[in-house]
Amino acid sequence: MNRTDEILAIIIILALVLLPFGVVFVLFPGHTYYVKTGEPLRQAAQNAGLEIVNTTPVQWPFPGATGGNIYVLEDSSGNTLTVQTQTFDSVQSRDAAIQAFSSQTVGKGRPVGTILVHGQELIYIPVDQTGNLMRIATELKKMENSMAGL
Amino acid sequence: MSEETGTDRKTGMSPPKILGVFALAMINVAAVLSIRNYPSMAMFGWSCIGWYIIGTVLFLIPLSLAAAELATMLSDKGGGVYAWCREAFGEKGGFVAIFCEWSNNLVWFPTVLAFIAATLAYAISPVLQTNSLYLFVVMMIAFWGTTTIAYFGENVSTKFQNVGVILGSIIPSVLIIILGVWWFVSGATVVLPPFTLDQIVPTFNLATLPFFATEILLFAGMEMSGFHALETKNPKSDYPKAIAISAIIIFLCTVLATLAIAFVIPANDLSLAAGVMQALQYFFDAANIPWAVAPMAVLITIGGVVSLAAWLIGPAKGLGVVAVEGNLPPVFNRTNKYGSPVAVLLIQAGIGTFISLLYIFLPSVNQAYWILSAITVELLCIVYFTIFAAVIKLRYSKPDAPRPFKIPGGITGIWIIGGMGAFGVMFSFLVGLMPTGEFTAGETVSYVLGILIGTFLLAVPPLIFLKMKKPGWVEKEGGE
Repeated sequence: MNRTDEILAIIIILALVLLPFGVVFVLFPGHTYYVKTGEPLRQAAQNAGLEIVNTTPVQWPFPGATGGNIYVLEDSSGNTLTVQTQTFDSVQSRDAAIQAFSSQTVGKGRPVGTILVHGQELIYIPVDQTGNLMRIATELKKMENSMAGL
Repeated sequence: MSEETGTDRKTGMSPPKILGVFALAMINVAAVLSIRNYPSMAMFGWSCIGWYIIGTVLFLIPLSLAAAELATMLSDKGGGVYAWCREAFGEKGGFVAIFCEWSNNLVWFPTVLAFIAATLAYAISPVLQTNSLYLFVVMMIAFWGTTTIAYFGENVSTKFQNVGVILGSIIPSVLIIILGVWWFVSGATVVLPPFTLDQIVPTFNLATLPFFATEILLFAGMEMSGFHALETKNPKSDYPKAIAISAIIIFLCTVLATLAIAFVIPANDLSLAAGVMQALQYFFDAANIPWAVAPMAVLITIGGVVSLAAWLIGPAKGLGVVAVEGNLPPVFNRTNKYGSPVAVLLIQAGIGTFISLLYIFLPSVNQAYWILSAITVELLCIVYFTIFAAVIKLRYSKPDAPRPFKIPGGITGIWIIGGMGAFGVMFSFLVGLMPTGEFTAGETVSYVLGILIGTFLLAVPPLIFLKMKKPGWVEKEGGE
């Protein structure tokens, strides 16, 4: 095998290994940062037919976090879901929080819970055992698209 | 390495036999035991016990037993997972298995590196967590530093791992457990409700199923010591002991430390978006020892680095054996005077650096991270399914081969143990394809396609290289 073949082999392996990252980042680009209006989670929950049965303020101990709420949501079957929101003062601090969450994996798998992004706000759903997360995510996506002018 | 003698094909010399039971056990503990799991799992309250039992029965026990049987049966062959799966399924099966074990790391490295950098920031100044440059610099120091340790061979990396795993994984775990016991004994308020048996049963529904894949693979890495077969003093007797010791340490530390945190911190305060260290801050504040946070951050950083080292070194050694056997182009077949697969390590470090750059400097790609972590899970499922299939197949294809450790129960026993493991990872592979709630119905197709394409591309290179294989690859002289 000559030098050209060796370089070709490295290019093949790099292309095959890096391609998935390119595909994923193109399919799912980042979220736009914008200043939220009102309480997006409250609005999304109501649109999804969920009732907010309790709200308490919460402050995440994370640089740039400026406060949010813990919402207890209830669906028509009486299942409850606890959701936390937190607003961030800059795109850097918001993205750093997303990275911190993404790095909190269990073993080599995924983190526990889910983060939804809505402009400057992160919405954290620790453990969804009700299936209502998708309903909220769908409503938030609609709101995000309209806010971002998409 | 020569298949039959375990000697280095190029030098004709055997690697130094420096690893004993303790060192082998610590390699597994370094790969599997992680403090960042504890607060995450504590959010489940008592049902974390149920999740741990599922992971233990469907994965930890089967993998430990399979690894013990395969490692002792093939103790004279280098390459760990590669040697085991090649013995059962030929070069193609072995190569695909080891490549998946190696390539899943490339996806995982940025997340563990980011964890290391963010945790260290907590010991210096938490605000550094939002500084991309700081994160990248620390990530690269950890990554290239660990690669450098791997460069200096088994002797140096073993000493590093032995000390590191005790300091960074076992001591912090024991401290958390002691604090939990103290909390309980001192009569302080336990935030968990009174224990009842039904509370340990996890909730299973469509919403929780995707987490099942993560939970099953919580104990991934128990096979890691197998990559060090040729450097082991008495592999036939040491492997089973080391695997048993590591499995017990991992299980006890994980379950007890998780419960200790669950006793003290209300689930709502375990906001993972704010990180493991913040959860521990709450824990230490509640125990009136807030000063312990910074030293703990340093210890957990060390734990993260040794975990990185275990995963960085083991599969690279396996891939190095593949290269030495002529299944990869000669450019990969370069070992240094310490016996380290230096070419594989450098290529790995280069790719890891590039992906870490994307991870840190691309704008918030929350869903992309999610898909990449799903790809990691899928690749690991391929590896472990192949291992479980191999341990079963070898009982038929090589029934009389000496097995210093044998899974008890004969053919029935091997089918029960191997079958449980194979079922667990197969099920994990399938539920790993299920989108979590953050993906809307319209994004589901992109999600599944993204995972399948990504998994395929990261698993397929061995088949290409075996097609390209030339007789000259095996004769290429390397070394530095």
